[in-house]
Formats: sequence, C-alpha cells, structure tokens
Amino acid sequence: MMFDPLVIVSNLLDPMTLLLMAIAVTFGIIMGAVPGLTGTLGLALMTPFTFGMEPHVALLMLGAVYGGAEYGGAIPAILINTPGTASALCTTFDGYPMAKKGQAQKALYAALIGSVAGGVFGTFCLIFLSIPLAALAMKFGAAEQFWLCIFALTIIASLSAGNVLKGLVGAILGLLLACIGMDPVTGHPRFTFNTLELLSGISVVPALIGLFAIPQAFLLLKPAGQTAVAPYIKRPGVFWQTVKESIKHYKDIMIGNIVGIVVGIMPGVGGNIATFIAYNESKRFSKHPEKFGTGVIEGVLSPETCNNTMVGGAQIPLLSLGIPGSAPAAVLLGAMMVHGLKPGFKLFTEQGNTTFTYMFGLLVTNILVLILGFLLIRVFVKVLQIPQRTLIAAILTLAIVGSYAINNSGMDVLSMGAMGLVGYVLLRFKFGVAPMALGLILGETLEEGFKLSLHLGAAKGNVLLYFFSKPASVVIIILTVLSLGYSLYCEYKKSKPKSGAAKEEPEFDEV
Amino acid sequence: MKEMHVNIGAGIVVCLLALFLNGQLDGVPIEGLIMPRALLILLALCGVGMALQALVQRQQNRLEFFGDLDIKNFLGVIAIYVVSVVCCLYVSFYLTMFLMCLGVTTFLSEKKTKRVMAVNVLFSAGSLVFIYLFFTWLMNITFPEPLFA
Repeated sequence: MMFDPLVIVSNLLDPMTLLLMAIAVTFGIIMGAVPGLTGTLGLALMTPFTFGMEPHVALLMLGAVYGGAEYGGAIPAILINTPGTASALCTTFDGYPMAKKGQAQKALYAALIGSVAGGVFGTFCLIFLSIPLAALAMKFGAAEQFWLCIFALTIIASLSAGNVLKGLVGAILGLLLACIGMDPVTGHPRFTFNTLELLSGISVVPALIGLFAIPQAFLLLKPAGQTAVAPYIKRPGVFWQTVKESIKHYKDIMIGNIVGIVVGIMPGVGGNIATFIAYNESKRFSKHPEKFGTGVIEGVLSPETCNNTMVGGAQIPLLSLGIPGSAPAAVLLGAMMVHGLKPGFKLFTEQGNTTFTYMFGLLVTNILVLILGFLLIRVFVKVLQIPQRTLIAAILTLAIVGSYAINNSGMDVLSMGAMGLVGYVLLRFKFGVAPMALGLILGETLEEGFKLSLHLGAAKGNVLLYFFSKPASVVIIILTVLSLGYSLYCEYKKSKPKSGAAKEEPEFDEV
Repeated sequence: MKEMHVNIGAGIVVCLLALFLNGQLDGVPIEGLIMPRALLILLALCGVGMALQALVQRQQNRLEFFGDLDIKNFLGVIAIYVVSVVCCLYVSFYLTMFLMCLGVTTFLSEKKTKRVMAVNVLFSAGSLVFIYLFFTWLMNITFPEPLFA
C-alpha cells in the first residue's frame, strides 16, 4: 500500500487543517469572484503563507484556493455579466440572462452544484489516473525526462501565448532565468554579471509571484466603470429545486466532466477553450438548442462542471510527470518544490501519505466549496463591490511581503519586483507569462536530464543515439514535433484570409 | 503601435539580448556552457523568426502598452511600486509597506474626502498589523529595518 489510511483520515479530520482549508476555500472563491483577480494570483499570494506548515496542510490549502477560485469565477459571470476568471466566460451566456429573469439564486446554485460535481469527478480521475501514469514515468530515464520537459514547454508555449514564436521566446527566457547562478556541476557562475547576489540563482516562487501577481494588479488600473449588478433575491427551497433540476440534466454534467478531464490533462490548452467545447456539446446534444443563451440551467451546469473538472485534470500530469496542465498548476508545482516535493512516482511511494492526503483532501475541498458556497453566498455577492484601489494595494503589499518571507532575502524582493515589470510587458505584447514561468520551473529538471543524458550517452559510446533511440523518447519527440507543427499550421491558416475585415477575437486580460 | 512594428522591435531586442548574454558565458567550462549557449542560439533564431513573420504577415492589429488603462494612475502606481520595492529593503520594511498601502489607496481614490482618507489610513494600518501578526509574530520572520536598527 502506498499510504496509511489511518494517517490520511487523521490528517484530514484535524480541526486546524479543516479550518485552514475553509479559510483557503473562502479566499479562493473571493479571488475568483473579483473580476481581474484569478486563481493563479490567489495561489501565488497564498504560497508564502504556507511555508511554516506541514507539506500536506500547505498543499491542501493551495488546492482549496485553486478549487474555490474556479467556482468563484461564476459569481460575477452570473451577477454582472463579467467572468471572474477566463474559464467562467461561457457561464455568462446563460447565467446572466437567468439573473436578469430574477433567477440569480438558482443560477448561482447551479454553478455551485456543477462546480462540486466537476471537482469531485476531477479528483477521482486524479486519484485513479495519476498513479498508472506515474508508474509509466518511473521507467523514464534521463533522456525521456529531457524530452518530456521540451514537450511540456513547446506545447504550453505554442498554445498559451497565441503566437508560437512569442511563446517559445517566453519559454526560452524562463529557461535562461533558471540558468542564472552557479552551474550545478562545474560550479562556474553563469549570467551573474559578477554580482554575489545572483550566485544562488533566481528563486522560483518570488519570480512566480512577480510574474502572476504584479501584472494582474496593474491590469486592474482601468478607469472606474458602472457595473450593473443583477438583483439577488433569496427565496427558500431554491437549492433543493436546483439540485433536482441538476440531476435531471445529468447529461450536461457528464459532458462537462468528460471535456474537462480530457482538456485538463493536455498542458496549456486552458479553461476557456474547454468550457466553450463543453457548452457547445451541451447545446448540440440538447433537445432545445435554440433556448441556449436565453437563460437555461444547462448553459450554467455544463461549463461550470467543466472548469472544476479541469482542476483535477490539470494535476494529473503535474503530480505524475511534473508537467503542469495550467497556469495555476504551474504555481502549485513551484510551491511543491519549495516544500521538498518532487513530482513523479516517488511522490506516490516515498511521500505517499502527503500525496494521498492531498488528493483525498481535494474531495473535502469540494465539500467545503459546497457548504461555504451555500452559506456565504451573500458575502461573496458583496465582494463584487470591493474598491479596486484596495485590491491593488493588497496585492502589491502581499507580493512584496510574501516574496521576502520565503527565504528572508532582499534579493527575492528585487527579483519579484523586476519580474512583475517584465511580466506586464510580456502580457501587453502578447507573449504571455505562463511559458516563461514554466521555463523557470522546469529549467533545472531539463538541464539535469540533458547533462545526465550526455554523460550516459558518452559512457555508452554514442550520445546522439542515447537521446534519440529510446522508444519513449521517440514517442515524446514525435508528439513535440506534431504539436509544434500543428500550432504553426493553425497560425499560418489564421493569418491567411486577408480579405474583408479582420475578425477580432474577444480579449480577456488574464495572466 | 501596430503588431507588426512591435514584433519586429521585439525580434531585434531578443537578438540583441541573446548576443549580450552570450558575452556572460566567457570562461564557462563546456559542460556548463552547452545548455545556455544552445538556448541563446534558439532565442536569437526565434527573434529573427518573429521579425520575419511580422514582415511576411504584416500584422495590422494594434498593441498598446497602456491598453485601456488610466495612464496617470498606471504611472503613479508603478512609481510607488518601484520606490517601495527598493525602500522596503534599504529604509524600513514596515514603514514602507504602510506608506505604499496609503499611497496607492490615496492616489487611486477619486474623492479625497476626510472619510475616504480615514478608511485608507485604517486599511493601511490594518494591513500592517496583519503582516506583523502573521509573519513576524507567528512565523518569526524579521523584516529589514535599517532606519530603526
């Protein structure tokens, strides 16, 4: 057995852990509910608070923020027709019309039920799929490790930035940042500009805080606009009525589950694409597709189930292979590394109790989302009225304090500050920050795999053969080439039709 | 700015950055050199690719550095942020955090009435108390206070 059930149960039933998880869920829902703030930002800001904690408690808190934020995004989507997170964009299509019809409470409960159903399904998939995948990864050697990192970087670079070359530039810059400091083998300084401060390299978590939190704070500096909040009228019995209706629409929940898990496992695809697919599939399978967009419960259930299923889905490659499936999962990976947890099969064997406490704890997280989402709904509605100036000041303060608290290092604060400015520039010019963040996170593993492969290849007499001959390596290389080729082809196709007015894609500022 | 111009500029900057960083690798033994040098070559190639792609596709979309942000507010907050990042390390962490909170909230307040100012001061003081209680009191983290040392 990989874990001791008694330890897991005692970990999960610890009142302090439950209290911290409840706080983290509330924090996550608020981060999701405030337009402009995101789950990734929530995770980046929460990470420094977890350093003094046991690894399982820290992971549970971060998982709770992640899960809570995905639900929270639906609240402004329903009440003010503005998605709190990118993945809640589809929820506006039917959620807001429902709210305008005086059914805000029902729409919010539908989002809650869909989110919890998705979260639970995603967690079960995480539990059952990550172990076999990690067992497969156990057979990987240094060359496969190297190619796997390359695959993750290219797929995220090509999918998340919207422009393959820009994404690749971001990923390479991240890898170069990871090279800063003393070379782990020769001990020779690289890219240190003859300064002592850079000898120990760039700390991952402060850099992630800078990349994800600071640009988000700057993006909140829009001129104040009028937001019309749809009326929220509380009526008794609506919850159970919504539960019954949701059960009746189990097909839409299942569609959200399947799309969420498939897309969630694929690194970099993103929640907004997944929820669009889920919404469209629900519409296609519906007996009355013409009613979609007018305020039907299926239009809320399907995308909300989908985006919460992705929370579990994105963590399958994260825990088993060390490849995050989404930006929040990338921050989670950074936090795991700080807590001494290295993804892979050993995570399930040597640190089984921590890992399985976390995975089963995600089920508890979903129960907490259900309870808190039900009880505190009025509070979360009020959150929409927090002034932007307060949010910006809070984000900047927490980012500076958090980045110092990680290692008690002034250099971390300076690197966070610089990364924040770099992140804003990257975001504005459509490079995206996720490829750079992933490059920084995976840099060390990639170089380790590269150097080890060089040595092993040299020992076996042929370096090139060692890199390119193993079956698993060949499969990963083919996948890398295919994904990169496909992205380049799509980009080429997109740039082709020059006649007529260029079709503008809807833009959603999210780091 | 047109996306084409931004991408050509970015491509040139990326190439120059690769060249500049390459100079930082002088004297590094071959084992520690292969990976960063390969990355720099790839970076330069991507930069050239970006510039060429921009020239071929002649992207007409507009990319604005400030976007739909309020420029005055943006520059003000950036200035407060940069000064705070430096001052928190070399002057006083707590004092800087208080002043940053107060500065940002006051600067972004549309109406600077007594009530708004009082709320801003209370919020800034509350943030400071929270930082002290959680980080210093609970987690034993001492923040730099050169001014009061």
